[in-house]
Formats: sequence, C-alpha cells, structure tokens
Amino acid sequence: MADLVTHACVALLPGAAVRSRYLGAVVVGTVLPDVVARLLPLALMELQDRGVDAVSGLVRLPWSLLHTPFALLLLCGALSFAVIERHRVGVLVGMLIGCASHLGLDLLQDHHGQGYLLLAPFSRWRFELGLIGSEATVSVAPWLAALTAGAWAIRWARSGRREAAGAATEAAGDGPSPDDIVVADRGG
Amino acid sequence: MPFVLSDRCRPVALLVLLGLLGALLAWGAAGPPRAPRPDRPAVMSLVTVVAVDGPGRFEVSSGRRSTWVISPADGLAVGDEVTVIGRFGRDAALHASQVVPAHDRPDKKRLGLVGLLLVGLLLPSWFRWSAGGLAIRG
Repeated sequence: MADLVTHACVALLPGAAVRSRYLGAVVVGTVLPDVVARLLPLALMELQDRGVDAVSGLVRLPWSLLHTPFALLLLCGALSFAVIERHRVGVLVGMLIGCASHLGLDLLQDHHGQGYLLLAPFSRWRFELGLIGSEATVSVAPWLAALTAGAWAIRWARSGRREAAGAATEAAGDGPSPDDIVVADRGG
Repeated sequence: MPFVLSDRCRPVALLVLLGLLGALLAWGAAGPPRAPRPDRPAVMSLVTVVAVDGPGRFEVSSGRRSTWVISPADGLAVGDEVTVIGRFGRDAALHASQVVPAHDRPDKKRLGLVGLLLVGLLLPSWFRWSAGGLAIRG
C-alpha cells in the first residue's frame, strides 16, 4: 500500500481544479481500503497487546481481504446507505472511484511478486505491476501534500477574489445592467 | 435512483451487503491452511521481527502466524519489518536467501495517521448531518 497522504492527495490535487460536490466521497474512497484492511487490524492488535482479550478473535480475521475490489464494492455499497437517498448514487460512485484510484496506485508497487488478490473470493490469483518499491511514496508524500495545499490555496484565493468582485459590483448599484449593454450593442 | 439503493430497500440491502462481507471474512478465515511446504520457494512480505535468537536465527510474525527464519540477523531488532525470500526447510523454518528490511515502514505508518487525520478533519467540510443520514454540503 502507498501511504494515506499520497492516496488522499491523488484525489485532492485534481479536486482543486475540478468543482465537484462529490470530491469528499472520492477522498473517503481513496483511504477506505487501508482504513479497513490495515489500520483496523493494527488498532485491534494494539488493543490485544494492551490486554483487551475480547478482540483476540477479531485480530485473527483475514482483514486484508477487505483490500480487494469485491469487498470494497460491498463496503462502499453499505456505507452509501449512511447518506440521504438524494445523494446516495453520487456518493457511491465517488467512493468507488476513490477505491479504484487506491487499488491502481497500490498495484504499481513491488512486493517481490506477492501482489494483490484482485479476484477474491472467486480466485486466489495475485497481481502487481512492480514498478515502484513498497515505500517509494514516503519520500514523495510531503512534496505532494505541499503541492496539493498550494493548489487549494490558489483555488480559495481565486474564489475569494471573485466573491469580493461580485460584492463590489452589487455595492456600486448604479452601473449599467447587462440588459442595457445588450441594447446598446444592438443599437450600434 | 436504482431501487436497490432506495430508502425502501435500505434494511434488506444493508443486511445482504454486511452478510456478504461477513461471509467473505469467514471464507478467508476458513481457507486451506497454508502449511509450509519444504523446498518450495516462499516470500513473506512485510512481516515483523518478534524475536532474535542469536546471530543466525530470528522469528517473524504476520499477525496471524509466526515463523522462524534461518538467516544472519545482523542489524535486526524486534519490531523491525522485513521481507524474507527463501525456502522452507523440513524443520518448518524459512531458510532465507534474502532479507529485505523495510526501513521507511515507520515513516509510512506515521504518514498513514497524518492522512487519516487530514481526511477526518476535512469530513465536516464535505458532509453534514441531515434528517435521514449524511448529506453533501453545497
């Protein structure tokens, strides 16, 4: 798995240029596979190490299976029901796009031929492209995060300026209305 | 709006989806035990060193099972994460031909927490509570 900062930035960076109300769902999708398949079992193991015996059965579950396309489809489907009906399809599609981006980035990595179960539970076939090391994104993540923060700062600055310009036009009040300009053009 | 995603279908759909997820985990847990096969090549990817027993032997764990590795343990300490490539011997230990330490693993875990925190902080700017569930802002 690549790190979660890189995964989130893969959606947040283009999200600064593309206006979509479903960006949040895409970003949630980019982190979801590692949250359920890596962080959750790590948290359970931590609890077990601290003496919470009730979780020992859960620790032994094959959580990595939740990092597969079929499981993520089910999980996104279930999570989408937390959203009101009107936004449900958009959120589901957004989360699935995020999950696909996550799996696509992970497939670039090299785990010495181990690869990822892409067709579970229908097949135990494993695949990875093996183009980058499994920790290769660690050195890239801070730069990507800075670039993403910069892109969002520019977006907010632009939208702030646009709002300020709109407010100034409204305050002026006595300028020609757009209708007046159209009439003047026709007259010429 | 597809019928299966409608509010009318919510209880049944949730039951089916969560049931399938449970079945998937049960299928994985009940899968064939992957007993080490002697002389077959094996890769244990990103496992944690849980014990170092002298200069030529250490134990790794993948959370679900532990394995002894026969290999020089120079520079390895408990808690390190490594990938071990080798062959299982008749003693059920993995005779390593290559041990690749994952030095950046702790940084990667830290970045994972930072990423999670970032998304957690941004969530309220994307979603708001509404009657019947979460709604998209804007």
